Amino acid sequence: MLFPTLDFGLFFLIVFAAAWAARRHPTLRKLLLVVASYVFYGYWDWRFCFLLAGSSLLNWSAGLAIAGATRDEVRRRLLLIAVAINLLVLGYFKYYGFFIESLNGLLLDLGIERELPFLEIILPVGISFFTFQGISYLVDVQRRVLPATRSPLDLILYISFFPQLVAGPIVRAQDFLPQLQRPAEPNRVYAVLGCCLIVIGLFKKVVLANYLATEIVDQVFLDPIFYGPLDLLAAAYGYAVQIYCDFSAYSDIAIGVALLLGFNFQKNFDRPYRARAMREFWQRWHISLSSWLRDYLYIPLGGNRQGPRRADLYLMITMLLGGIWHGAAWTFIVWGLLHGLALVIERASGWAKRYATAPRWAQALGILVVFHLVCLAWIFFRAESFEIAWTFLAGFAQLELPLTLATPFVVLLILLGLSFHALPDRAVESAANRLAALPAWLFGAGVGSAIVLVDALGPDGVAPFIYFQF
Amino acid sequence: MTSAPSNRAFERHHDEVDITRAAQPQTLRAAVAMVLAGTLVALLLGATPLADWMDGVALRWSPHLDGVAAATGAWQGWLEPAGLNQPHDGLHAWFQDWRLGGW
Repeated sequence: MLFPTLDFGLFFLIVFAAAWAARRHPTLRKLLLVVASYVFYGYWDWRFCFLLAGSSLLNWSAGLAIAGATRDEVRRRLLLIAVAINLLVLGYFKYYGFFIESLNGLLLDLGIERELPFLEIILPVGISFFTFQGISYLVDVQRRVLPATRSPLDLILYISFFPQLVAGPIVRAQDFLPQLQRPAEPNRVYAVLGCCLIVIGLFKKVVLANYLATEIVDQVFLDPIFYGPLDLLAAAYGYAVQIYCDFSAYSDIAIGVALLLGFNFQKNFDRPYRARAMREFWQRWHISLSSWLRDYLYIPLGGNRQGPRRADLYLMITMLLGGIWHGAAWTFIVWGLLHGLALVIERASGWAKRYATAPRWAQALGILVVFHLVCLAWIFFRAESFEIAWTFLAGFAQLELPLTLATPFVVLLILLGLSFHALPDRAVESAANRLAALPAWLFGAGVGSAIVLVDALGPDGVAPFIYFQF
Repeated sequence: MTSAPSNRAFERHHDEVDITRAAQPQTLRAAVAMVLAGTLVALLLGATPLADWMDGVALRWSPHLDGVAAATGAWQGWLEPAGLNQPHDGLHAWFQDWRLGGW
C-alpha cells in the first residue's frame, strides 16, 4: 500500500478513527495498530507477515533472555546469537543471490566450471529497516540502556508499526517503547504539524520525484550513451533531487501519520544539500540510519578512541557496510566507499572541524563541493551496473550530442526540489504554528484542497518509493 | 558491538531531531474536525480521481464492490453540474498540456 494513494487514504481514516476510539483501552489500541500494520504490510505479500511476526517474536524472546542473564559474558553471547540470526535472515533474502552470482563468477575466473544453485528470492519490503530496529533493541537491552519489554504486543508493534515499517525512519526502541507505556493524550495531538508534513511529502513525491524520474532520470540512466553532457548533468542533479524528494517525502508522511495517531518520530532529513562538509551531510541525510551506524557499528568498532588511523579504518568499514545495507551490488559498495573516502580525506584535512567557523565564501564553496561529491556518488548508486556508471561519466566528454531531455520543466523541478534547502531552520514547525491559529475546520479544508491540488498536478499513477527496494 | 559505550555516544541530540520541539499541539477534537473537513473537501473537489480509483478497486474485487463503484460514479455525476470537479480536472488537463507543450 503506497502512501500517495486513495487505498492508503481510506485505510488511514479507518485506523485514525479506530485507534483514537480505543484510546482509553491501551491494550486494545495497541492490538488495533498491530492488526492495521499487518494489513498494511500484507497488502504487498501476505506471506511475509509470518517473517515479520517471526522477527518480532525472536527479538522479544532474545531481549528477555539477555535481560534475564546476570553474567555479562552470557549476555554478550546471547546478543551475538540473536544478532547473528537477524543478520542471517537478512542475508538470505537480500544477499544470497549476489553472493552466489559473485562466487560463480570467481569460480569461472579460476577455471572451475561448476555453477552453485541460484534461487530467485523475493525481497520482503522493509526487511533492512525492521531488522535494524530489532538489532538496536537487543543491543540497547544488552547495554542496559533499555529494560527488556515483557509485553510481546509492545515489541510486535514496535517492529511493525506501519508508518515507518517499509522505509523508515529507523525508530529506536528507547524512543518508541516508552510512548506505548503512556496513555494516548487527546490534548496533545500535533495535528497541524502532521498535516503540513503529509502535504509537503505528497508534493515532493507525487509532483517532484515522479516527474524527475519519468522526464529525465530513468531515461538517461537506462542508456546514458545517447545523451550529451548537459543532459547527463541534468540527470545527475535530477537524481540527487529525486532521491531526496522521494525518500524525505516518505519520512515526512510517516512522521505526519504517526503524529496524527499520537506518536512522535524523530526528524530523518534536515536540508542535506546545504551541508558544508561530508560529515555535516551525514548529520542531515537519513539521520536515523547514520546515527544507527554511528551508535551500533562505528563506536563499538572503536570509534576514534584508538587514534586517527584506526578511526579512518572504522569509518571506511562503517560506510562500506552502509553501502551494502542499501543493496547487494558492487555499485552500492562503491557508493559507500566513495563516501567513506571523502569523510576520511575531509577529516585528515581538518575541514570536518573547521567548516562551521570558516569564512562565508569557504562555507559556500564547501556546499558546492559536497553537493557535487554526493552527486558523483549518486551516479554509482543509481546505475544498474558499473558499465552504465562509467558510460554515464564518460559521456561528459561527448560534446557533440545535442540537448534533448533537460527541458525548462526539468530545470524547474530541480530548482523547486533544491529550494527546500533554502528554508530556514524549523520552517515547517513555524508555519504549522501560524496555521494552528486558523479554525480547525478551515485548516482541514485547506489540507483537503492541497491534497486535491497535488493530485491534479501529479501524473496518472504513482511509482513506488525508491527506498522500498532496500 | 559489545563494548560498553560512553554516555556521550548515546547523546542523541534530542533537541535537534525532535520534530515537535517548537510545535504547538492541538486537541483531539480539533484533529478530528481537521480530518473530517479535509476528507469532505477532498470528496467534493476530488470526485473524479475518487471515481477512477473506485473503478480500479471494483475491477480487482468485482462483483463485491460494483455497488460502491456505482455510488462513487453517481457522486461524480451529481457534483458535475455544480462544477466542483472543474478545478481538479481543469488544472490536471492544463498542467499536462503545459508540460507536454515544449516545457
